[in-house]
Amino acid sequence: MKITSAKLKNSEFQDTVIESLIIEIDGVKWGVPKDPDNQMYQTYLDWVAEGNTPDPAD
Amino acid sequence: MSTLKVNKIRDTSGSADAITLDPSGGAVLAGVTTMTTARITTGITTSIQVGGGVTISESGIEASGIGITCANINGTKIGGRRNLVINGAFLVAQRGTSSTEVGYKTVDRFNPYSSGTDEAPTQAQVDVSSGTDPYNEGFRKALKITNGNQTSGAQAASRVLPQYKFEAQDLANSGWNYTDPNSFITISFWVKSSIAQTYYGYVRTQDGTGRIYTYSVSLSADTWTKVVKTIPGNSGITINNDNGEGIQWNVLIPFAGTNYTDSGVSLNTWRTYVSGTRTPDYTTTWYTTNDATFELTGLQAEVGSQATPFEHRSFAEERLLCQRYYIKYVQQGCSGYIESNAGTTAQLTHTIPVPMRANPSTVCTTAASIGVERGGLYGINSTSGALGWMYENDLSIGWAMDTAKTRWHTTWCRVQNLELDAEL
Repeated sequence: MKITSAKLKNSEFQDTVIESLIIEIDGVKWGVPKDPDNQMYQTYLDWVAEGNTPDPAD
Repeated sequence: MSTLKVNKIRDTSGSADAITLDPSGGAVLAGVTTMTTARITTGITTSIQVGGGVTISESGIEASGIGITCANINGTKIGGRRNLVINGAFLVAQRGTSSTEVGYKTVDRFNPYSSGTDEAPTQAQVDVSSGTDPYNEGFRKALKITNGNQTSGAQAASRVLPQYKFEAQDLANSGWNYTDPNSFITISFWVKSSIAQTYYGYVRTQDGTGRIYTYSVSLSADTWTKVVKTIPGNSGITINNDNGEGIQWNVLIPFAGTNYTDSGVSLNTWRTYVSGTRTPDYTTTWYTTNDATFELTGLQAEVGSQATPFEHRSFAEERLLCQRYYIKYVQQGCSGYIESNAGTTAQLTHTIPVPMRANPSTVCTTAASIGVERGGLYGINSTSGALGWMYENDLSIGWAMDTAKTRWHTTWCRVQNLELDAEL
C-alpha cells in the first residue's frame, strides 16, 4: 500500500460526524475517514510521520 | 506351574457362580466385576460390545441410541463454529481473481504481501484440480502465487508472504486460553509448491509486546501436502478484546530475505518478536525461479490440540463474514439529498449487509454513474467519497456531482463499482 498523495477535506454536511481525507493509494483515490482503526488512515499517519505533508483542503 | 481344573467358581458364601468356564478357554463373569486396571493386549480381534448400542473396535467407537455423552472433544467445544479463519477455502474474491498488485487484491481477507521484488508476483484465485487430495476433501478454490522474474536475485529486502490477519476479539473470545501453555490452538492447511525446499511460517501477536512462533514445512515439488501445527499458549501473549489486529498469520512463506531472517532462530517455540529474526535463513530456489508457483487452500485455525476436518461453510455465509471487512457493489441504488445551495456534492445513504469492522474507506471507481433528480440526469464525477457517518447497516457518503444542484433537492442514484474497505 503506497501513498502517492493526500489532501485534506472540509466537512460539508451538517450531520457529518467523521472527518475525511482524500488519499491516493496505488493509483486509486480513496475517501479515507480519520479513524485510527482504518488501515488506510494508519498508513497515512505513517506517511506523515515520514515527513510528508497533505495538500490543504479546497 | 500347575493347572486348576474346575468348571465354575463361587464365593464361599455366595448363592450363585461368579465365573463359569467353558472348554474352549473362555469365561463368563456374572454379577458386578470390579478391577483396577483392565489391560487387553491381544485376543480381541473384532469388537467389544456394550449392550446393543455401543461397539468398540479397531476402527473406532460406534454408538447408537442415546449416543455418547462427554464434556468436550480435543479439549474444546463440541459443536458450533470451529474455524477462526474467514474464507479459508478461498471461495470469496470480491475484488477480482488475478492481480500483480500487492496486498488485498483478489481473495477476501487474504493479504499476499511482497516487497523488494524486481517483478511483482501474481496472486490469483484458481481452481483446485479434480482428483487431488484437497479436491477430494471438498476444496474447489485455492490462492495461487506465481513468482515474477527476479533478475537481481535474492536480495536482503526481498520477500513474498501470504498473510492472514485475525481480528483480536475473535481470538480473545474463542476459548483459547492463550496465556496458558497447556491450552492450544491448532492450525492446518493444504499447500503445494513447484519447488521442493524447506519453507517457514509464523504467527505473530500484535498487542502488547509482540510474540512470534515460527515453524517449518518441507515440501516435495508439485505435491499437495496437508500441514498441521499445534501451538501452545504463552504467558507473554497479549490479545485485546477489540476490533484491531490480534494475530498476523504468515501461513507459509515462499521467500524472505536476510533482513527478516537469522540462522539462529528457534522453531516451534514462542519468542519475543524482532523484525530481523522472523524465520531461519531461506533457501533462495523458489525466489530465483521465474514463474515458480505456490498454492494454498483449506486454512483452518481452531482451539484445541487436534486438527479436525475442515469446517466447510457456504459461499453465502463466507461472503457475509468477509463483508465485515470489505464490500464491493457493481451496482447499488441509493438515495440522498443536496445540502448546500448550488451544491456539487450529493449526500447518499448506502445500505450495507453487515456492520463493518471500522469506518470504511470509500471509492467509486466508475465515474459514469448517474443520478436522477426531477427527471434530469447528472454524473457522480468523483472517485473518492467522503464518509459522513456509519450506524449499523447504513452509512452516508458525500459524492461530488458534475452539475450543481439546488439545496435540499432529493436524489436517487445508481452508483457503480462502489468499494468500502475496512480491512485489517
